[in-house]
Amino acid sequence: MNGKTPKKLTGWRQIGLLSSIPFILALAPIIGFVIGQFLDKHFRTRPWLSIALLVLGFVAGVRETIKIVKLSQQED
Amino acid sequence: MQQSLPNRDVLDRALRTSWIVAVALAAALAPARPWDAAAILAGQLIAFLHFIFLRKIVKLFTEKRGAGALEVADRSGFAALPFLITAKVLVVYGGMFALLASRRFGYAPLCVGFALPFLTLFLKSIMLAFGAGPASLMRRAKGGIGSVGRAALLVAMLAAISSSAPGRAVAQEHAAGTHAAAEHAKESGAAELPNWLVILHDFNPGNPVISWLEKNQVIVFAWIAGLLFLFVSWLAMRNPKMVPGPFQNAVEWMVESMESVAGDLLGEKHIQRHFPIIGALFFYILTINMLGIIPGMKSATSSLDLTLALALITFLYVQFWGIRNLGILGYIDHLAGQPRDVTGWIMLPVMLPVHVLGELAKPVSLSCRLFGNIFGEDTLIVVFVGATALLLKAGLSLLAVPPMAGITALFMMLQTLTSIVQALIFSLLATVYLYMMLPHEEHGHEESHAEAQATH
Repeated sequence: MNGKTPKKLTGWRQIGLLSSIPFILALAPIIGFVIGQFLDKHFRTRPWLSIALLVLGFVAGVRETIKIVKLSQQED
Repeated sequence: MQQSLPNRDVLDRALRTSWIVAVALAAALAPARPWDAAAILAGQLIAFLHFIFLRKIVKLFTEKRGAGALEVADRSGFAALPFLITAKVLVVYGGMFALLASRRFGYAPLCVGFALPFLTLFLKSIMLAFGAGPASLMRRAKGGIGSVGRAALLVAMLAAISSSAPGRAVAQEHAAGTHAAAEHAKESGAAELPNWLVILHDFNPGNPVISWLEKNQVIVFAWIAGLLFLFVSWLAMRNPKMVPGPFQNAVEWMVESMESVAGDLLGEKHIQRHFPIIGALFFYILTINMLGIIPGMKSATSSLDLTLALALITFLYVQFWGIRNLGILGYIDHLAGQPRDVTGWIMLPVMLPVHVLGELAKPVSLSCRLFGNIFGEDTLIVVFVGATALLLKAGLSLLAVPPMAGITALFMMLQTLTSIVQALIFSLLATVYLYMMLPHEEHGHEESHAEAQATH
């Protein structure tokens, strides 16, 4: 609010941001795979949609990670 | 941009510490169970490689950041990226899978080895946040002899523990052999200390109201925390004064601190509108977490149902504001990765699921983290209380009680810290997700300046 973050709070913010990386990295492919399984069952395309969404999940995880790291290094 | 160097330093130091701990653990375990020792080292190696690859990938993206802070500015070093990501997936995930599939390594020691770097990184960041700044870290890094001495001490302690472990295991087996102890073990298999609802249910097994309450205890404890929260707020603010008394002062201080933390992130304009939900999330989760420290009570956040519900609320709120700020078409455009040229339109079928998956991963990661931490803390305390009970049954009260009580007290202090940190992290991440969704150009002078430069 007053324009300057106290040093301790910057540390907390970075902990919060950086500690979410492992979760995002692990969960994005899993969510992709689960959605893929569901869609495969619907469209009878087993196992292609699961594999495609699994790979896309990896990409999404890495992308979110990069976003988070950038945000954590930003100083305002 | 001072932060980047200390960060790297912290990662280096955390990795080094985790290697020391892993080697010490493995050395202590090696005589009795060589495969478990190897599994710890293998897990540690995998996690180490994970961090090394992650740093390389992240470095590619953040090396030259001058213009748009959130935009990808230059694409010169990106040729190595697919290679790096493929290598990482193959080595880290493939290696983990191979280790798990080989069945020779135990599951638990692998997980211990894998978790060590994460744990040390977390502890180091906390130390950094508490003011053990980069300068002091550097100074201590030079005293190499000291760290070697500490490592030797650790190895000696672990060796002592491991040499006494067989005796203790025999004692535990002996205790578990008796019928009563077996029953106790079955009860503690629920991995929860009994709260007052469970005790009430045990004494009145037939009562339908109590058994209903016992079945829905998460909701009951969430309501208790909510009512407590409301009561404290009402007590503090029922008679507000210009010169506040100590109680009102304390509550105002907490609210104002939280507002300033979230306000730094969101900017002054947005915080007025969004602080009610961010603040409510923080103080509600804090109350719930703290409730679990009182004996006979339970943290409702140790159930995935509640944390998922909280994350779902956050998710819907963020998406609602995204739609409201960008409009329906703008929102879909945002999800599709803002295709403006041919490449953008070609990449659309790939980018749309990637964005949607990224959005979905956020609430799940929020809820899993909160649940995992609080549940882990609760389980840890239960394990130590259960171990104390078993040792008492084996007649080792003098040996068991003083150190166990000390350890449990230590973990309860840690639980207090975890409660605050997790509540803060949950609400701050909700703020970050909101910030990613809100229009950024109004945020600060620097960014709009950078964007103006980028368009020139």
